[in-house]
Amino acid sequence: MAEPSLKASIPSAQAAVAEPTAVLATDQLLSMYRMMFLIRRVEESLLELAESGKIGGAMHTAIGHEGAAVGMAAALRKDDYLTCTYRGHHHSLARGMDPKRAICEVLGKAPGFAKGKGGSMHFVDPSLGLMGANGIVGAQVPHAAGMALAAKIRGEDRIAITFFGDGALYQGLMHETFNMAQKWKLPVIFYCENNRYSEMTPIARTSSVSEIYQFVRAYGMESIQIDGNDVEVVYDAVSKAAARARAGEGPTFIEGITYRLAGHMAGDLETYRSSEEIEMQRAYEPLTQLQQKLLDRGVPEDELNRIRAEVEEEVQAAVEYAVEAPWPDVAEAYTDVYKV
Amino acid sequence: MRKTTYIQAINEAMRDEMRRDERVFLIGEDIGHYGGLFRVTRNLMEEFGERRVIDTPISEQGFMGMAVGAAMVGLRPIVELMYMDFFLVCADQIFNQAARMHYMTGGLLHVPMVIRGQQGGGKRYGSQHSASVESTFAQFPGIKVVAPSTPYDAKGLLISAIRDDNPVLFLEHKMLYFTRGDMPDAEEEYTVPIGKADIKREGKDLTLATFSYNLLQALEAAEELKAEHGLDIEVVDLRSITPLDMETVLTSVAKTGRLLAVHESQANAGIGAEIVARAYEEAPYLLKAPARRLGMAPASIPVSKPLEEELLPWKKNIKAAVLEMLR
Amino acid sequence: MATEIRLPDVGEGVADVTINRWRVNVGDAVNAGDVILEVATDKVDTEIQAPASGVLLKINFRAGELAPVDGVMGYIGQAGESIGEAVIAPPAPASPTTTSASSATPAVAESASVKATPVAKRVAADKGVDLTSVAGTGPGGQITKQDVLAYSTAPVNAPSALPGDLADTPSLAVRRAAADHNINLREIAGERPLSALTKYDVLSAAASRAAGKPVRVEPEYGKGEGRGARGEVVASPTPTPVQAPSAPVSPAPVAPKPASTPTPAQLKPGEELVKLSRMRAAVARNTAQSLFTAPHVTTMWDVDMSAVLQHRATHKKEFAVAGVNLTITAYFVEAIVAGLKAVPTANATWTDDGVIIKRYYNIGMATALPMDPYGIGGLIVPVIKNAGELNLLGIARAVNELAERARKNELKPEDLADGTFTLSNYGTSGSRFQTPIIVQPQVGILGVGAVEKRAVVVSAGHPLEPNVGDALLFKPMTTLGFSYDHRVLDGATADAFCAAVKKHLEGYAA
Repeated sequence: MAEPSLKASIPSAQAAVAEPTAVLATDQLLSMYRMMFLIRRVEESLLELAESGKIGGAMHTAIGHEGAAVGMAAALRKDDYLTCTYRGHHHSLARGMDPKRAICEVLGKAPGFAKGKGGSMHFVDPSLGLMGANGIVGAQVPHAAGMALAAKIRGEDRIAITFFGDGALYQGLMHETFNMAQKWKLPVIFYCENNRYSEMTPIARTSSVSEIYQFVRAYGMESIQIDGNDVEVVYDAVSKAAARARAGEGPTFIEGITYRLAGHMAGDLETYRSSEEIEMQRAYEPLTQLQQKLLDRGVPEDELNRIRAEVEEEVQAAVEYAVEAPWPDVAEAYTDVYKV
Repeated sequence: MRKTTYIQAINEAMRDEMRRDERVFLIGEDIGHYGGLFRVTRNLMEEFGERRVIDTPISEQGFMGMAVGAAMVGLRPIVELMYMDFFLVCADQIFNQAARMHYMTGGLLHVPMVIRGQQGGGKRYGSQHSASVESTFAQFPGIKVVAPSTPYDAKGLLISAIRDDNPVLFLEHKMLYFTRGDMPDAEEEYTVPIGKADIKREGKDLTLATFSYNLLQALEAAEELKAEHGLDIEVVDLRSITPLDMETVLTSVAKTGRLLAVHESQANAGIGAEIVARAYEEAPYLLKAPARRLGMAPASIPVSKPLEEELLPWKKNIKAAVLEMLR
Repeated sequence: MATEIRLPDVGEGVADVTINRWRVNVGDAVNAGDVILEVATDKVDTEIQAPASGVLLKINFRAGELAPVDGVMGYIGQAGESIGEAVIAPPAPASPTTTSASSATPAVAESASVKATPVAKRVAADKGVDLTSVAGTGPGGQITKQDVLAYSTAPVNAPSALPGDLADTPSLAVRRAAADHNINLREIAGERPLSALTKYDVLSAAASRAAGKPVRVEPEYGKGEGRGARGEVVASPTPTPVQAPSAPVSPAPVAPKPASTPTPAQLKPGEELVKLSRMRAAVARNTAQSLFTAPHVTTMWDVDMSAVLQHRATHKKEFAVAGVNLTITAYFVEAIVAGLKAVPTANATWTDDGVIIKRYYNIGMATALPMDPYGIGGLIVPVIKNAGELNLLGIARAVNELAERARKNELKPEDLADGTFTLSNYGTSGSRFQTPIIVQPQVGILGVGAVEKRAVVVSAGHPLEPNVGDALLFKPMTTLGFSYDHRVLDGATADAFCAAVKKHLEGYAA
C-alpha cells in the first residue's frame, strides 16, 4: 500500500528543491487553471466515451498529473522538443493541441491529427514540438536524447524534454540513455512523473531503490525531487533545468511526485488501492492546489466558475464534434507506410 | 575504370554524402577513432570530427533510440551495428519505433535513417555473429531493406538509402568486404535505386533470384552448371528485399518458366517463401514447374568449418537445388 | 460478296476452340484449300483451310483467343471489298476487332491509329505485345513504355469489381503496391470501387507521381477481354506478298496399310488376311501378356466434374496466353498424381521379392490412332515424365506437347518409355465405362468415361434414408474405371486411390 499522504511520501522533497524563485503572475496562473481544467474535463469525457464502448483498445488518462504538463508548457519554448508516454494527453493539450482533433484521434475518426491511425497512445504534432507519445515504456526517452543530440550537432539552443513514469526507470535503455546524455552533456530534461504505481503495482514492491531521483546520481547527473502537483514548483524546476541545458551544462533529472486519481487505463479494476487512499490524495491534487492558491490571492470564486463554464462548453462541443465526425476512408489504411 | 573493394565503396558513399549534406552523421561502436571493427568507417572521424562521427558505449538500445530521435527532427543518422545479430538487442527501437513511426503518426513524423552493418556466415563466427536477418526485417512494413552484392551497387544503394526519407536497413556481408569491382571515377556521382532488381546473368532455363553474397555464389554455380550440364541459368540480383521488385523476377520467369529463390536467412517462412508465394499469386501460369526456395537450413550457424559449409545455401547447395528442378 | 471462314465439325461437345496461329496476314492472298489457320480444341489441334480464293479481309479472333465453334473466324473476298453487315456473325465478346463492321480492313485502320512513343513501339515489338490492346497513360492517351511493360506482365483477366459490401476491398497485390508506394487508392480509383483496381493501376500512378504528373489514372481495362491478344495478327499497312502456303502436314499413317496381296490359300471366299503391323502385334502381345500375368479387377467410381469444368472455364484463357491449351486430360493427370501420392502402392511394380514403390510419377496417356478402312486402329502410350513435379500448367503443356508430337508422328522412343501409371481416356470416343488392361509392369490403369450430364440425387440428410431435403440435380458426371493388379492392390486400397482421385477432381476451386 502506497503512502496516503503526498507530502509525507517525499521526505527529501523540500531539501532537494528550494522555494520557487519566480512567482507567477495571477493572470498567468488563471490561464494555467483554465488549461488544467480543460485537460481534466477532456479526460473525464474520454473515460465516459470509453465506458459507453466508443473507444477501443487501451486508453490511459493522466487525471491528477496535470500539474507537470501545464507547468512544463509554461516553462519551455514552443520549439523545444517533447516526447512522452502513452499517458500523454495532458502534455499535448498543454502544448496547445486542439481538443476536437485530440478526441477524434482517440475515437479513430478522420479529423484526428493522425487520421485515426495513432489513437490515444500516440499523440503527436510536430508543429507544437510534440514529437510523439509512445506505447512502449521508456522507448521515447532515447528519442528525446537524440533530439537533444541533433540540436547540439546543429548548434541550436533548442532543448528536449521527455516524460516517463516511475515504472520506466527499470528499463535498461533508460540507463543507457542517462549515461550517454550525461557523458555528452546533452540539452535534455528527464521528467519522471512518479505516481507511485508501475501500472498496477506499487513501486515499493518492485524497486530496490526507494528514492527514484537518486538513480541518475550514479551517472553524475543533476537530479531533484519536487512536488509535481504544484504547478509553480514544476514551472520553476523545468525553467532552471532548461536554462542549464541551454547553457551547455547538460541534462537534469526531475522527479515530480504526483498521484494518478483514475486507473492505469480505462477499465482498470483498481484492486491495488483503497478508495480512502484516493480520497485522501484529492486534497493535494494539482487542480485543488491551484484553485486554493488563486482564491488565496483574492481571485473571486465567480471568475473561476466562469472559466469552468467556458471550458465545459468547449469540451462538450468537442465531444459532440468527434462523435459525429466521419470515419477515415478505407484507402487510408494503405497510406503512410513509407514516406515518398 | 577503377576497381575498389566493397568496403571502400561503402566508405566513399558515406564520405560523399557527409560532404554533400550536413545532416548526415555516423553513430555506433568503435566507428570513430578505431575506424570500425571492419574498418568501414576509417578516416571519417579525421575528416568530419567527433561532432559527426560518434563513438558510443556498448548500448545498442540507447544509441539506436537516439538515432531515431535525431532522425525524427530532421537529421540523417547512419547507425553501424557491429554485427547484424545485435539488431535483436535494440529491436524495439528499429521495429516498433523507426519502422512504425510514419504510419502511426498519420504521416506527421518520419525517420530518415540508415542502419548498416555486416551479416552472414563463412568466417566461423558461430551462432550469435553470423545470422542473416533480411527475412525477419521483411516482416515489418515501414523499413526498407537493401543488400547489395557488388561495390558499384553498394555505393549507389547506400547513397540512395541515406537520401531516402524512410528507415533503411543496409545489409553488408562479411564475405563481400574484400571483393573488388569496377567503379566509376570517385568524382562521378551516381545512385542505384532502391526497389529495383538487376539481372546479373542472362539465361533461359531457370530464374535464380538472390542477393548479397549468395549472388556471387549463384553466379559461380551458374557457370559450373553451364559447363557441366549445359544449363543456362538467369541470375537476378534482387538488391532490395523491401520493397521487392517482383516485376523483374516475373519478367524473367516469363522467359524461363522456372523460379528458385535463394537467401542466407532461414528458409522457413523466409523471403524466398514470399517470392515463391508471390509468383504463385501474381503469375501462376508463368511457371512450368513448381517454384522453390533455398535458404539456411533450420539450425544456428556452427563454428566448425564443414558444418557451416553444409548448412549455408552456397554454391554446392544451389547447384543441387537447380539440378533437382531441372533433372 | 465475302466468304466466311468457319470451322469444320471439330467433335461432339466442343463449345469453343483456341486460336493457335493464323498462317496468313490480313491483306494476304489465299487460295482455296490453303491452310490458313490452326486451332486447338480439348481433343485435337486442327488446321483450317481457306474456303475460297481471294484476299484475307478480316479476322475476328487473334492468336490465343477463344472462338465459339459456330463463329465466323474471318472473311475472304476481293481486295478492297467491304464486308456487308448481313454476313457478320454475332460478335464474340472476346474480340476487340469485330466492332468496325463498315471498314474493309479494320485491323489495319486500328493499327495505324495507335498512338505510342517510339520506345513503347520498340518494347511492344520485343515483347510481342499488340499495341491496340494497351491503354495509354501518356499525354493524349499516348502509350508509353511503362504502359507496355505493365500490360506485358499484367494478369490476363482484369478484375471486375467485387459484389456488394466487398466492392471496396482491394486485392492483396493492390494493397501491397499501395503500401509500398504510399498511394491513396481512392485518389486513383475515382468513381470505381477499390476492388476494381489492379496492381498496375497503382504502379503506374506511382510512376506518374515520380514523373510529376497527376496520379489519377483512367481505367485501363475498358478494352475488356481483348487483353489476351498478342501481336502476330496485326496486319502491316501494306499487304505483304503472298507467302507460299506450306503444305498441310498430315500425320504420316501409323496405322497399317491393308495388305492387298497375296491371299493365302486357306482363306474362304469373302475373307481377307490383313497383315499385322508392328504396332498391332505389340498391342496384342502386351495386352494378352498383361491380362494373363496380372489378376485384373476393375473398380468403378462416379465423379462430379463440375469443379473441373468451372476451374477450366475460369483459367483456360490465361493458359492460352501462356501458349497452353488447358485440356480435361491435364486435370486427370494431376488427380492421378494426387491419388498415387496418397496410395503409393498404386505407383509400383510387382516382383517376387516385393513391391517396388516409385516416388516419381510418369503418367502414360493411352492415345488412339485413327482407324483405317478395315477398322484397325492403333494405340500408343506417350508418357508425361515427372508429372509429380509439374503444376497444372506444366502438365497441360506436357499433354499438349506430347499430343502435338503424336499428331506429327514425331514421338521419340523415350516419349513412350518409363511409364509408372497409365490414363486411358476412352470417354473421348463416347464410352461410359470400360475395363482397361494394365500396361506392364505397372499395377494400375485409370479409365475415364465420357463426361455427361446425369441426374444425381443430392441428400441433405442421411444418404440412404428418405429426406425432406433430397433433390435431383443435373450434374456433369463421369465414371472412372480403375483396373488394378490384385497381387499388389486390394479392393479397399484400390478404392482408397480412387477416392483420392475423386477428391482431387471434385476439389478444384475456380
